Amino acid sequence: MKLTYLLILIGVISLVASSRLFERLRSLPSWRMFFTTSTLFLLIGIMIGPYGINLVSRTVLADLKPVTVLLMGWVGLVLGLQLRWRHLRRTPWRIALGSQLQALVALIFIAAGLLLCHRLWPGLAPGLEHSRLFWLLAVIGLSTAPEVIQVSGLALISRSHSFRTALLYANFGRITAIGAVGLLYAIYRPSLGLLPQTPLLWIGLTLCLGLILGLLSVFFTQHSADKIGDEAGYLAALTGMIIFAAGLAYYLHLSPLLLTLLMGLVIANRSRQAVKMFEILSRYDQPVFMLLLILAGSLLDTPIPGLVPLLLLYLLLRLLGKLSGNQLAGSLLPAHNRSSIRFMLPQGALTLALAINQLQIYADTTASAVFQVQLLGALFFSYLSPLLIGGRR
Amino acid sequence: MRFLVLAVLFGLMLLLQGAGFVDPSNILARSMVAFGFLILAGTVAGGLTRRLRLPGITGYLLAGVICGPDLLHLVRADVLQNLNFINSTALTFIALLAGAELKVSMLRERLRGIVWIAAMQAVPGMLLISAAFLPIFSYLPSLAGYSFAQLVALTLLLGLISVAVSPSTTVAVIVESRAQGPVKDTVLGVTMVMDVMVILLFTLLVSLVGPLLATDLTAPNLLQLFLEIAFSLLAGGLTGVIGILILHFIKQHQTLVMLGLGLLIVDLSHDFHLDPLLVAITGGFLIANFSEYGERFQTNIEKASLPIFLVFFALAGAGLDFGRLAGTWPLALALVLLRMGAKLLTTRWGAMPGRLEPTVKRYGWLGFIGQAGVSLGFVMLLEEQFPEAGGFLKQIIVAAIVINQIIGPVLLQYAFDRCGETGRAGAVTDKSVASGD
Repeated sequence: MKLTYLLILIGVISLVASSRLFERLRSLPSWRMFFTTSTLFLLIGIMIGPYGINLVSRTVLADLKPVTVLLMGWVGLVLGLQLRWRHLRRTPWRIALGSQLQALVALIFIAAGLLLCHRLWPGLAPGLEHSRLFWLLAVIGLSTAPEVIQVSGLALISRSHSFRTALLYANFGRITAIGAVGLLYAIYRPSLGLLPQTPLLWIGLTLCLGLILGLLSVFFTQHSADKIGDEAGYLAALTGMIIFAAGLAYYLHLSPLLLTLLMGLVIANRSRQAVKMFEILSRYDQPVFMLLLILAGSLLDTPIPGLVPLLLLYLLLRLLGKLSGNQLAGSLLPAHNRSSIRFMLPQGALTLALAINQLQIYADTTASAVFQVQLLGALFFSYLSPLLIGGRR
Repeated sequence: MRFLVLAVLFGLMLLLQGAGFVDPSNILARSMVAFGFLILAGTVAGGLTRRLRLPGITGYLLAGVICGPDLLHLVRADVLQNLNFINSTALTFIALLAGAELKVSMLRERLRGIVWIAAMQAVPGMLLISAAFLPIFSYLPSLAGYSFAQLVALTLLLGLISVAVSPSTTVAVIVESRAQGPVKDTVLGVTMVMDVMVILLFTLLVSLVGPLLATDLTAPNLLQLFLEIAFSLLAGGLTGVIGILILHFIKQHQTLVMLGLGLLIVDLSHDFHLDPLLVAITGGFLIANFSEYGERFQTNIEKASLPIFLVFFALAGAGLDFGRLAGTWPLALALVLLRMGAKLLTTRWGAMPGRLEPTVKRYGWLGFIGQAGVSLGFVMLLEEQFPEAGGFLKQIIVAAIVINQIIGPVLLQYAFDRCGETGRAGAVTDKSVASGD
């Protein structure tokens, strides 16, 4: 199928579904939370992929790279724009610390568990680059999806304070995951025909470019605000900045998510227009996330050999790691907030964006294994989490 | 401050292109960087021209020209080629908007005048330019070997291509200036009618005079052209129905949906040999006039039009061939001036039997100076059919298009300003927004 037709098909499905289903999902009774937002779009993606009506070929992945880079640039900027120091410093330190603690525990559980299992059973995931595989699975597995929590939360967590805690907690985890995946790219960079980049140079370049582009965006939009003032003008300037930054990241083989996250961070803290920019960009959140989810689902291909044991092990280790981490983090929080984070397991668009990103960077069997495990993991945890929350009510 | 930001980004791009630590074969990445830069440059230039009371699209065009392959080389020819689908999609979106701007009530009221002006511009306009250029061509040393009949054929082709107008420029200035009034209605209607009329006349003319210029001519098939237009109109009808269904089922992000529809039109038109502009104009016209979503559709796409215009005109500016202007500017300037004279006369001639308002008679011609895509398409075809004569005409016409495309929007806005039509539509738009559409 031609790329443009595919994109339009995916776009129409995501828009019809998002406009028709979002409202309904909010009012569903708890047992029907089985169909959470992300799983639904993932399933649609799988249905149009090689496991369904086979509209997506392997070559499409390469052609889709600019689109996914752009989507990730968008997601990164939107995330970064939420990191206003003024708000962050008002966040109870227990939530921030708890979020990092659970991330660390989950990371140790998944990475150490997988490494240990491989030591005990060398036949696990044969023919793959194990070190990269295990670390990537662990760091991508750190993130939790607020959009799923949002749907679960609106229906199941009645107290708004608990819900806000859960969202903050999830957002901190997402940022940690983006940073950690960025570091891994720096370490496990493929040979790309560029100047030899050391991990330090990679990190330095990302940081410098992120800060510079962020500051430039601040100056640029500050002025636009005076001269253009309307939403369309802002949208044009922001889109230009995102395309430029994402293109630069693509050009230099940096992480577009990390680069635009840093940009967003600078804008959020230096620009008087940051809130307005966030509002404008977040109006397009739904289609962007839906597009990412459907794309991810459609890219699920023939399973790599030895996927099933690897997947089962990953699911078990992540479940244990997240539950233990949440339990530990919960001990830092007041008693009435603990229940809101206990079953924060679901994965969503960000996890899949990171998984697609590494698939495009490395483009090998190991990257395929990471992607497949993450995709199936996202489906599994998105089903499990609402059921656990519902069961504990 | 924004110039400083652009200067830094410019430096960054030069560093990337010149320092040699980038993969030069990575065309997709380079296209993204260049495209992002072009949008930012267009935003700055558009703001600047607005401050000078000129249309924003003039700024976008200038930004494209400056960043393009002829001046700063920031957007190179291969990148421009790679971004062609974005340009086509934006153009189709603009065509949807153009269709939505056409109202049945307006057409009913001034159809007679519109047809008269379009007919006058197409035939007497073509003859005026041809007649004026015949003596010029007779004295050109590069055409010394041509017979009189061949020179007549060449001038007729030049005249016809020159009378073509630019629907995208017209719509962009109308939306940006929020113009409302008789001049706007007439200019818009004539531009749309001319678009179809000139395509038909061009095919007819090439099949008539073509054998004089090339013996091995593969003359365009008239029946095929009529079928193409008929199927484009049919496809436009289908687009309208699909658009109405989409608007019924998708309540959010309708601008994104329309962009998707634009992309679909571009691709399907290419696959089925249809005219994407005609398909989109018909589709937009049907949605706006024959559905309950018409007003909301128009308001939504108008609100999102600025980034689309920016993208389209910045890329169009980058694609303007300034190199040709250097070599052929005296002939190009003569063509521009003659064309303006022909537009002035033929608009007045058409407005009289059409019983149009005095403002249309006086200022309407200023709306027909912009010239772009249609004419460029014709010269490409000419060069293909008659490499020698077509190549010669291409030199002059492309150079003239560069001038016309830059002065066209300025003159159209001037016309709206002089007639007091600028900004009148603002009240309508605000009302429709306030009513929840």
